[in-house]
Amino acid sequence: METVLLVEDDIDVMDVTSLLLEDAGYLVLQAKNATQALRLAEEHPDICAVFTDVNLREGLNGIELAYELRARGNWASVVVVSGDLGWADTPLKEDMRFLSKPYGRKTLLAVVHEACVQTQTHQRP
Amino acid sequence: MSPTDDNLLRLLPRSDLQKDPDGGLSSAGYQLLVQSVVDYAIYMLDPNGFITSWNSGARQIKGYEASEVLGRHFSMFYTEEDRLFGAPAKALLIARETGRFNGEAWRVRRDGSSFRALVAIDAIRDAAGELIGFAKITRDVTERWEAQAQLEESERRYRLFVEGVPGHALCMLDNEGRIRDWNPGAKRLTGYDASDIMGAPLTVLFPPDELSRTDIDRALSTAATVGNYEADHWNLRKDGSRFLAHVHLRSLRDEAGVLHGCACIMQDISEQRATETELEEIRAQLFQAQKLDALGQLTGGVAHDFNNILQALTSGLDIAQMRLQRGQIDVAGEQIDKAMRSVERAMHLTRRLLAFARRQPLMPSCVDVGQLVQSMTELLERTVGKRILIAIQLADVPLHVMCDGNQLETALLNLAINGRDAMPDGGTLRISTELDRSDAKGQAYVMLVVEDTGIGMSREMAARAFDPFFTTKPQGQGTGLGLSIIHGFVKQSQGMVRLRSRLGIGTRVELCLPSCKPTES
Repeated sequence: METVLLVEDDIDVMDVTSLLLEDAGYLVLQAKNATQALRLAEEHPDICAVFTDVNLREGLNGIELAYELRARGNWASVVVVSGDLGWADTPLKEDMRFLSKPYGRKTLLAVVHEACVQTQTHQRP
Repeated sequence: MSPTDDNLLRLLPRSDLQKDPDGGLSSAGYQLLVQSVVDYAIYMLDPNGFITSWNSGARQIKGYEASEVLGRHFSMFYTEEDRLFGAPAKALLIARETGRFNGEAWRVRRDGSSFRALVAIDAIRDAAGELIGFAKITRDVTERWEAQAQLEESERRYRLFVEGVPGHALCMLDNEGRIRDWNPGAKRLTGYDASDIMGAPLTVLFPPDELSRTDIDRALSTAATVGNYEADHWNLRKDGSRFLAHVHLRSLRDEAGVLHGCACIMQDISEQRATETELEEIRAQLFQAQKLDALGQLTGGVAHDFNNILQALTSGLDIAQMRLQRGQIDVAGEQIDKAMRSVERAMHLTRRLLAFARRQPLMPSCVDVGQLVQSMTELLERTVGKRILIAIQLADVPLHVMCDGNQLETALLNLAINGRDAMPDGGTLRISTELDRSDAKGQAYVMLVVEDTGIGMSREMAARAFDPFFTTKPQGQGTGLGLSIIHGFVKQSQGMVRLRSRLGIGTRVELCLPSCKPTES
């Protein structure tokens, strides 16, 4: 079973996104902020994709979190999502991807799947 | 009897020289009279103009003793110019031919000073009609002449003044309200020449409808009783067009309090009024622009929230659909209920946004500040973002202020945005209301305070904080108009703004607005 780290501070969004991912067969780790996310990432080195909101209530934002994970040697692909399109222009690394809210179930699953494949190809060679 | 006196007596009709049976003056009496007159120079000339007598009045006025002038030609009293012009001879000629010469001219005293003289020269003839000399009576009228000259000068200046103000119509009205004086400004304003309008009632300058003419009649009686009347009225030009005029009537009373009509001063204020309207429009536009600017900052946050709601909604419906396809009707229903709640959240948000964004006329009313702050809280929270805690402390009792609620909302939002920008690393934005001290006139004030725990400003920066276009924000992030417009709005509402700031501690802005009592409705 592939593990996805979901970082989201909106409970409603967290609930439904988790449900969709779990229904598709993922193991979902929930984090409300960057601090929790970093801790979970350390505890679960098998994470295949980080799916994070940009605007987080406290601490680092989603993009900063992605860079911090890289800095800590975590190579899981990161999908940053935001309802604020202002973030869409922020430069991201090749293996990071921006997704704007709202997105549908198919997009969610396709993006997460792609991220997991990318993580695996990155780790394999 | 000296020869001089003898000559003088020839002035008088022969019969009078005889002793008067009715107790009238004797010739000696006349001598005494003439001699003692000091206000008039009375003296005699022989037919060629040589002085033959001299009274005390002559001595007083001209400064010569009798011994200095007797036998000399009377032209010695004339000015150089008059002598060159031949005035003395002409005067005698007229007196000889017509019996009398009257004139007014400058004469020279013994000390060289000049005086204004009112002169009468009478030809004296004996019973046979033979010219025996002239009686000359001179009066010093310098004072009267100066007063007159002053009056003329004042009149001339008044004319210059009245005619020199083409922007104002100045006219004089008599006690019946008829026009008695008309300046070029009045002609320019109304199109009427003085000849058209002189004697016409003031009411012809106003539209013929009953109301405005009654108004003018009332204005005239107000001016007559109170002394003064001032108001704006529509005026009618000669060509039938209208203009808005500021009309000022002032009653004219002399020192004894007698009414001598009324001065009417009118000024065309159509343009001024148009400029004011235009200014008001620009102010409204500027306010709207500022509001849209604030709204732009607001929508970023709101769009984010809105997309979050849509996200929960989309995913929720995705799940419900999934469940339905699998026949799990109950759990699908749960998701649909959740989705409905998300829709409500979205509706609530858009309603708040629209309430803020809609264009409203600027209209002061009695606004409940606490209620206004509460209704704005959600928008404010979205605007400042999650890193900033908004702490609201409202007074225990409802506080009302007299101002435009829409502008107060924008002011509050702008202050919140300023607070947010001053706290890039998060902090607390404290919004509170309290009753402020009353001023000397007993007007109570309510204070709306917005305080941040941000970077603060130096004393120099704080001093310029209300200047238009002054901003501490990076280029492109602030117009520098927020506080300036807040200042304008609060001033206009008869309130005041206080700002206190310390570097590294934070900034506190107090909006003090006049308190009011809400009307029962």
